[in-house]
Amino acid sequence: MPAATETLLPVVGALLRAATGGLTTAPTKDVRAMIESLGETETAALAFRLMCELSVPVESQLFLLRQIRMTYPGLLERLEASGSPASLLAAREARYLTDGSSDESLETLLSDGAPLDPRVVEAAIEHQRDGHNPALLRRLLAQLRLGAADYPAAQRLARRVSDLSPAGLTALGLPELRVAILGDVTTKFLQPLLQASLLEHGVNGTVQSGDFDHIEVLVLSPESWLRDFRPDVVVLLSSSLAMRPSEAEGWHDLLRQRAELCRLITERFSADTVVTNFELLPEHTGPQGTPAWLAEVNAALRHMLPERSHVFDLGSLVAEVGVDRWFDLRMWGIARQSFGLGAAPLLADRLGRFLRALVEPPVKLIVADLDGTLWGDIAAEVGAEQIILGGNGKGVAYLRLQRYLRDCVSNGFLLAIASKNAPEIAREPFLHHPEMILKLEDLVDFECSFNPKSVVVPHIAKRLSLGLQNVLFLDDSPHERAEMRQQHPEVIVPEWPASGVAGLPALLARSGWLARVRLSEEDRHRTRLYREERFRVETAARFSDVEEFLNDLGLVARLTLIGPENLERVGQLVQKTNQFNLTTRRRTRLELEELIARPGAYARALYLEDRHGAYGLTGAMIAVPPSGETGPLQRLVIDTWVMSCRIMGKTVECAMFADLLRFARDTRAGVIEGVYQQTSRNAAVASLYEELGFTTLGFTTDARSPEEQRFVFNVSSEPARPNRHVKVVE
Amino acid sequence: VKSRDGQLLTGAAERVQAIFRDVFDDPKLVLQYGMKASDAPEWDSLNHINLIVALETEFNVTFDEDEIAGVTSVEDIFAHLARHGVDDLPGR
Repeated sequence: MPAATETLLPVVGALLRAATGGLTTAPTKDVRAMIESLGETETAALAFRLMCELSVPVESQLFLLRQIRMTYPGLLERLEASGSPASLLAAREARYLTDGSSDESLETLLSDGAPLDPRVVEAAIEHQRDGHNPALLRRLLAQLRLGAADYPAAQRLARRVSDLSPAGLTALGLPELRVAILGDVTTKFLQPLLQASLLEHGVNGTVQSGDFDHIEVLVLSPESWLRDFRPDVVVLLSSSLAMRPSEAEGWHDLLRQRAELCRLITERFSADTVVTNFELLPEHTGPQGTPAWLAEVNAALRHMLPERSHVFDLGSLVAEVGVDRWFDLRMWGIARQSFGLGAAPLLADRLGRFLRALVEPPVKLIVADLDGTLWGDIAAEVGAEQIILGGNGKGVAYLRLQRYLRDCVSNGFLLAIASKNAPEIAREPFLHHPEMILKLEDLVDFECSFNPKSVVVPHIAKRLSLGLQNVLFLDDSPHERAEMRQQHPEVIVPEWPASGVAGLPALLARSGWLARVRLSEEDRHRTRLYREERFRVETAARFSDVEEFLNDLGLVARLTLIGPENLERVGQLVQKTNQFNLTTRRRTRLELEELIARPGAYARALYLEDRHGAYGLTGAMIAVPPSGETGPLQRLVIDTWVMSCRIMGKTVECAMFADLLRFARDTRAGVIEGVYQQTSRNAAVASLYEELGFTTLGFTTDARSPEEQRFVFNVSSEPARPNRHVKVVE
Repeated sequence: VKSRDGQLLTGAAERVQAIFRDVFDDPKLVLQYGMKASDAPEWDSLNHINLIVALETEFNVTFDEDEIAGVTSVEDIFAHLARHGVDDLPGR
């Protein structure tokens, strides 16, 4: 609080007393006289803020605000024009409260992302209660800032949120989640707060809490409310406080029981479970330190839990807050409440973020600025060697941020650069600065232009087929952040911490935006997969001439004999390929084995790669002499020919056919026969055989497969479409 | 806020009234000096703790376990606040 505020306190206090003493008893002229004694502008702005901060009924505040506005007509306009962010916010809040809480003034209030006073948020939620403006309500809820409120304020906010109309909440279009919080400690204080927190973080949650120590009964009894509630997630809240001394000794049994409980919950309700780990207690601090069992039990917890069971790291939250502030042991004695209620809003906030990440991580793509964000100073001015990065002093913070982002990439988040720079200057540090942690291959996109970032970022997201609500935008420039918020309120734009880049990793970690509760193998490679496709698209756009594009791709096809090591994968490809599939004969594994073992058979799997990366096993062709036919100049009939749609349009089919032709000539076959059997999905290859130079033999007379069209190719002739763009290797 | 003899109360009593209004979610509640937990259905064990925490936050005081359990009326609240050095409270 600024010094000027403190000297004002008694005056404002007197004012409030006059107002709250009863609007009828305090003569309005006395109130006006006191307001005049305050003076105008900055002083009055502070008065607005103070009124919001003191615990006064809203109607008294409104009375005062109106009196102040009447005393100083035009005051709000002057405050807004003063250039001080605090004055601007105060004026906007006052305008919102006294102007009948219009949607337009709320929109203005939310536009710059400044933290609003909880009282103003309360009033705004009340006004949006009927859900008449879903987009605005969603933005308002996103700025609830429940975790930063003290317990009484958080409770008031939660109550206003619980008054919102169910239809209005449904209209927000948020994912729904039914959460039961059970515990061997009290859970009822957390319940309303968690419900509000889920809405703040974009989940339309329904939260129910259960009495402590009744978990087993609840789960097992056929008449429990839990069964009727049909939870999607069951949170099991626990505490080291609730552990009996014998359990601390024999914690293996405790964990086994807990793991069994989680398994039962998932089995009975098909719900995920979230289990808290064991937190440090006040008596675990000091020279003796933490008891060994505490570290062991938490390490073992992660290994013993069954699938669909996730650990919420209560321990790290206690470490962040500090044990002395976290616990209120009076409340443990009185109400079996395992944390001080002062910590309840923060716990509700973090648990809400965790559950949000469990439903779906809110962020998929991080778009970061370069100068001032990933390194200090401006590369174009000082040169790539001289940017502030690593070394001693401020450069260390940029390294830590880079390391944090690199870990995010490893966890499957996409990272792109949006920089107002010339591309060669922007890339220089990535290529040549010895301390850069982020490399070009960590990036999914690298956009250097002098276009506004509010244009560039949607462009990047669109190329990756992502919505703007999945984008996190990191930029040290307040102007860039403000512009992004203004143009695209759905983009997540964190305010820069007071400590600058040094505070950013913690801010990002605590936000939960980049938390991945479930992590799949594919997540780890996501950047590579997206990047390769993205560069292919980019290159295609650069070449107007397709021939030139294909030559530049550097396609290499490796045609390998089909055998035990790739039969499984070939079988899958045959089963699921619809478009480039000449016959759509779904050969079984046994049939495939029989075909490739036939004397004189051609059976090849295609592994394709180009200069941007490998596509993997993406094609297969099997051609066999009809059974019983042997000897020179025999027929070779293409039984199966499939290619993944990912590689269509690259003339790979010409390479595959050229290889078959080479084989036919080597084995002295006379003709190659092909069959096209039409399905609803394979029109793309209807004329393939004709294009390659086959002669049509007409339709088979077989009544069982009337659409079967047969073609023949004389091995001594040359294909009409020779292979020109693909290098074939064995 | 009305005292027992119907006199208007000011100062800290209004802040207590604001807390009751918040915790019981009743913006029109008029705090009665003689109000007892046993008479008010909203004053359950959950709201009891909520009242205590709100009072502690508002007046920056800490009650001990006996005080928390011992509060059964508005009068008790005023008495405890006075003992913790909160002035500006209504007299009897």
